[in-house]
Amino acid sequence: MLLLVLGAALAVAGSLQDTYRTAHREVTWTSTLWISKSSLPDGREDDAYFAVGWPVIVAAVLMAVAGLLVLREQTEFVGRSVAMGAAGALAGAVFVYLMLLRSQAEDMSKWPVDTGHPPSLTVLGGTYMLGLAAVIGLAGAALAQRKQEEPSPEDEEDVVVHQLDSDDDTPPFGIEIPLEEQQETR
Amino acid sequence: MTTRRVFGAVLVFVAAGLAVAATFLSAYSVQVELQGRTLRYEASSWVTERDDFRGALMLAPLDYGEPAVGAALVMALSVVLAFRMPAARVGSLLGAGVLAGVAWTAIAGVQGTIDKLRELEAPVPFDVEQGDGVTVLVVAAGVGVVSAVLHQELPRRVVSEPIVTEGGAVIHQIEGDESETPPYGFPVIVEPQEPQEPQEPQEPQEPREPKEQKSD
Repeated sequence: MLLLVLGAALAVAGSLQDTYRTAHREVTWTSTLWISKSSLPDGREDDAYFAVGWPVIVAAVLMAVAGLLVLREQTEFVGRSVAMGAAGALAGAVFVYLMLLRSQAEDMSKWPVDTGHPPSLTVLGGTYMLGLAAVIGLAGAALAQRKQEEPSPEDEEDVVVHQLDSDDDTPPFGIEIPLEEQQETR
Repeated sequence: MTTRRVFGAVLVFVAAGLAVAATFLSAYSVQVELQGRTLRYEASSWVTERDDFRGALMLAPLDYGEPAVGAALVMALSVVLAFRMPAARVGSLLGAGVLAGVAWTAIAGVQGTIDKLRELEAPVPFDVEQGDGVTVLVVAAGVGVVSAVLHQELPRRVVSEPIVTEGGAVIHQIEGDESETPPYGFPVIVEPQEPQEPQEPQEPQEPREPKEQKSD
């Protein structure tokens, strides 16, 4: 449960941090999952090229909610299922983001070099936080599944003995069988 | 395995197949009408399918193919493994979650690319379109999530502990067994003569019917 909430918090924090920086013709653009900010004097801000903030935030919130649902016995099953789906969604979103950054870097490497400064893409801390959040989320979801499987065999093996106040021995068939004469008179 | 779970397992396979197929369909396309000629750029999630501009637009495919295929593999493997190991069923939830995350992020990536291209002040008007691949990927993710839920086993206590309300009885009908329920609920071995002696193993007898029944 702690891992799920920790992963969710890291994902939200990572989505607000700078994830990568591109440099081309002495202008750099620094991106988060939401916006890109240029190094030009006007400090222009624009929507990020890969604005994938919402999928990450929604998956993180679902993961945190699943972490809380797992704690209650009535909602444990739903919590475990949501935890696995949400951790998968976060991992999928981060995986695609990493692939998009890779394709962007490859794409930029083909751009023409005209001023002596080759175009470059630098991965920043936010991306590492997102990657770490995805791994922690998956680990938390996996541990949440294991937790539910442990108590079930114990429940089946344990025999609950109820001691009644009466000193009578248990009848041969476990229940008292009335004689036929008594049954007829009923 | 219940019909619901078999149906879910089949649908998980369908979703996985759709997801893989989606990565090979068009992700986005750019089309320009120039002097009566149509120039077109089209890319799937893997490669550039068609580029009449010969690289002049500096466009590239958006790489969401590998994550989508990864999600499909997790889903398909978990369904196959679940036939032998029931605990593997949770893998279909994981795969469906990954696929949903992939689909949403891929849409955001493609939409972002399309928006940026539309903002360009090009001297020639051009059309930018989202391809069928993204639509199919979203459908695959939707089917994947629903099928993964169907594929799961519901909590056992709901099935094994029927709630008996006051005045109502839960009747379990055993298929193929036409015999009537004995008076005490199970065949009773009657030992009228010497009940103190240890029981000899013997065939269970049919319980005697009461000679006369009195009804109120």
